[in-house]
Amino acid sequence: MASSSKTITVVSSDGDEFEMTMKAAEQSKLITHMLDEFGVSDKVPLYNVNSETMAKVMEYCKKHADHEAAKEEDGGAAIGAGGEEELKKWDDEFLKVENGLLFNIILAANYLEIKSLLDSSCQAVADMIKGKTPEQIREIFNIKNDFTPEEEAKLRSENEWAFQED
Amino acid sequence: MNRRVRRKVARKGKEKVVLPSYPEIRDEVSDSYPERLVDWRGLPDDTVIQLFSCLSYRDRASLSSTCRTWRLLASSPCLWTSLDLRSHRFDATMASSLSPRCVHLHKLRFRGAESADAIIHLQARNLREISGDYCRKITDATLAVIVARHELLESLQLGPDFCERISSDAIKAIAHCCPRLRKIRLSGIRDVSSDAINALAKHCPNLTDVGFIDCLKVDELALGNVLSVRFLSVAGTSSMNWGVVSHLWHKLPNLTGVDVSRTDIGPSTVSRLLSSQSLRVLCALNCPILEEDTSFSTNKYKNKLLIALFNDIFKGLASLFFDDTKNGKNVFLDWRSVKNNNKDLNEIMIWLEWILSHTLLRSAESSQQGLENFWVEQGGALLLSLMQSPQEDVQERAATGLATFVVIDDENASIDCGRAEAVMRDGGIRLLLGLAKSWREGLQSEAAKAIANLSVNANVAKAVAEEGGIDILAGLARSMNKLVAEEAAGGLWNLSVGEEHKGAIAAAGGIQALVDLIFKWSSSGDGVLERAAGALANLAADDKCSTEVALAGGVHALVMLARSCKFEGVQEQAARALANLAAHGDSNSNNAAVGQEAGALEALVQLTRSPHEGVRQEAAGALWNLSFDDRNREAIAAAGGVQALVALAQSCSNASPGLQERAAGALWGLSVSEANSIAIGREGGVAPLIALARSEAEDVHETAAGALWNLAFNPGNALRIVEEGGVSALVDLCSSSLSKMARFMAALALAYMFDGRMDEFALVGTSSEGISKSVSLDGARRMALKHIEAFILMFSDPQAFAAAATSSAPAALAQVSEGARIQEAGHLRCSGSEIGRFVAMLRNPSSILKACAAFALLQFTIPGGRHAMHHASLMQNACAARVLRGAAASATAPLEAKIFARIVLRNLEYHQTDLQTI
Repeated sequence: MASSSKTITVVSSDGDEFEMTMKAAEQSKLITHMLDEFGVSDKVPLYNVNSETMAKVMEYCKKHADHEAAKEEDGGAAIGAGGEEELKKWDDEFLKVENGLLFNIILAANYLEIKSLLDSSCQAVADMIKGKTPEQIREIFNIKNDFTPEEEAKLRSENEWAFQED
Repeated sequence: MNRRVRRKVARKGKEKVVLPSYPEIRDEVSDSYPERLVDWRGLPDDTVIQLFSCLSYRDRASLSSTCRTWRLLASSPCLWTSLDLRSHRFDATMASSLSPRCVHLHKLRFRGAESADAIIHLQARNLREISGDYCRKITDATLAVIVARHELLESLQLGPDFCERISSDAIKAIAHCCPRLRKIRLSGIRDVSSDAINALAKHCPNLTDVGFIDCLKVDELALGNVLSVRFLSVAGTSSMNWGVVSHLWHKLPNLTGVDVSRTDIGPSTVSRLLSSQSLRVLCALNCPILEEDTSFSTNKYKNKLLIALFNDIFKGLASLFFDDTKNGKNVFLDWRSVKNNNKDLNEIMIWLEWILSHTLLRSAESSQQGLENFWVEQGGALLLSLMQSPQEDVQERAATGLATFVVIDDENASIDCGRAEAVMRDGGIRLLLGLAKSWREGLQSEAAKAIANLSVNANVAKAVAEEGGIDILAGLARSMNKLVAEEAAGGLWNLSVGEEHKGAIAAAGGIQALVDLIFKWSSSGDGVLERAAGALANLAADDKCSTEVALAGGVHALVMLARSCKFEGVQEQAARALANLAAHGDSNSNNAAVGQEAGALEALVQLTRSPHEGVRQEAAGALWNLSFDDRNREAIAAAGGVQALVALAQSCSNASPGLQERAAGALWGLSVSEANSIAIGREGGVAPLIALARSEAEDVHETAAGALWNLAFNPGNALRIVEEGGVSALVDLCSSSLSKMARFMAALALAYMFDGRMDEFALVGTSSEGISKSVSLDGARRMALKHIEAFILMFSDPQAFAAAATSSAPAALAQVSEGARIQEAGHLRCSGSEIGRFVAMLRNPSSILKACAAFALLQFTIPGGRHAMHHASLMQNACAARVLRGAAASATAPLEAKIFARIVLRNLEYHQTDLQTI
């Protein structure tokens, strides 16, 4: 118990310091690796992540670390499938954020190597895309259409198969 | 210019912002995104690729069409190592357009012979695995060309439908062309010859996995030569020579797993196979001859697993791990969660998952007797654990198996509740919903189908709703894939049967999705349209949902189906939906809206002539409901509804009570106007209605009595009813129907017929036969009056009457009124002339008719009745109070008439206050 409650400090790109438990830190492969290099007493610099995103990612790591701890404690018996389902719902709520923040969370999850967060945030973006036309997707992600008319014609024939129902 | 600025003033004015001097600039600022602008193209490439891999091919195509960066990433080789073409139309042109991206394609799934023909145009020379279904029409030539162009092929699977046109020649071609072949599984080949098998043995040294499944004949001798084989399945294959098998197969040096499920293998062959050195698993599920031998035991074979109906399969599987402690029902999960590097064991488990899913699905499809215990104790749980397999085709088959094994009777859509609830208890709903959320359309449709079938059980439906299934199904109903949308609509259909989930379906946007689905597939696919219309029909039965159906454009969609769809199942559900939409006359305007939809009434009239009984029934039901609206009623008549419905009534003497009820009901509805009544009589509607009045079913006599009552208002029709023998039918109804309403309306019909108007008509109409007619009329009249009297006496409790006669206290009258009340009669609505006729009847010389008229007026004015106010106001206009007071005070009138009249007067006083306030 003593070791899991030990905390470390990470520093965001804005220079803000965040404290997190070792357990929570283990959610991130990058931090785990860096701790091996820097040692636990040092502050871990994570200059690719800004403070707003870092706060959010901290929240995620804490929740998932707590969940794992609870699961270990009772051997997974009481938590069962219901507990996993609940965590899944929590994730869904957690990712209901404005597009810009979601984008930053994905970048952070990718950088910090938090696979479960990367998976669920990618899925959240995928859910936004489902069933949309290219024009609607451009609107959601604020993307400019940079195709020439010739390229567009080529695209159409390239993608036609996917739109043909059997 | 002016106009633009003014628009802005108006808008800013609301926000109380002073008009700035440069409105254009201000406008741009305020219109910009409230959130930070991020460039999503800045996502790391591998993240974008992961994003693509979460999407269906259609969504991938859309995403790749947004910008150059993502288009480039969309063609990354790692997104193109496997391709599932089953839900897409695939031909040579499509294949050519895909070809540049398929250089590194390893794995391909396709559906149908036409797609098979196009495969070579992909030019995917690196293809390792091909798997196809719906392969009945694939020929030797097609297959030979495919294998010739893909010499790196390691795995070929065609099935589970029978490959009827593939012969041993094609198998020889495979052997010659694909030296790297490791796995071949073919279903339904007529004759797998020794030549073919020997060619495989000779040219394919790596061949370890062979399946000749559901074949008619396989050369078992030659199979003994395939020394490389480790896994062999001949499940469902007939005319096996088990003697040869016993003699040869146990000598195969590498044989690890054998599947002989669904064959006529016997205990001696099983024993012989189990004595093989290398064999670990023998699967013999559903082998009747083996199962008959109760003395058979596998105890003496150490470290061999026999999977059979009489064994505990889960325990047996767990024993493969050399660990008997784990014997829960999740042995497949346990195996996967244990990080083990035992390659042999992994191969066995992967093979087992595949053959088990196959045999379970086949057994479920055959709905064979004698498997009840197996399904409840093991089969359902096995399917559930197979649904969690990492092999996508196993998952799919397990879901299809679940959808199939719960169904007992396809025709009546009845399911085995024990099985359904067992699936639910074992966590099956959550698993299925999980599969339904996958991007893979094959999984989506099979999971949705299973959820739909299971939801026939109300407890399961509740669980589906609680686990968020309604949102998921509503989402899938929006799918661009027809199969997915069809199964999802089927799920919503079954979930919308009860009252519990209708609101949730509406809240999940299900109604809009269902309506959109009709427009999307209006010209193709009876299955999807029938399910969507069926679901909308259920939903429309609910007041609030019916309003939403109309708001979503449902009226137009359903009328379109009723007008132009040629499939009877769709016509039936569309008509039922329109009937239900029109059933809420008091609370919304859907009834009128349906009638105003161009061609709606004509289409429904047309459908009453359908050869399909269900269609006729629902169309008649819709016309019945629609005829409650005055304008619709006349429009139906103008569209030929009278002739059509009379013809329907004439032809339905042997039809179901449901159809009979609605045919008579529609005529009842139409006959509310006297013009229609006359037309119905003229078209010959009287005789069939009399026949229906003699029906056994009380619902039918109710509507037939109602129609005859309305018709009898017209003296010409009244005479027809007498001539067609209707008096005895009505008398029977009046005295012995189980439905109070039918008795009541039969009595009123008889009262109309014999209150004198018909006699005048008969005298004027036919002079020559007048005398003989009047004789028989007298007899009929006496009989009618006698039964009317008996009917009314049934509602007259002598004690309560005595109390009411001597006392003027309101309580006494109230007691009589309560005793006489016919609850459903409160729904009847009479016109001014009908009320006028009953008021006039109060003065009829017959004391029975006096009492009957007072009784009728009592029913029509009881406070709380739907149209009581309307009737009260009509009576006020007819100056009825004076006549009623006369009847109440009359010395000659019977006691019942007097007391009923007093109650009516009291009812009128009650409504008086309400009428004045209006």
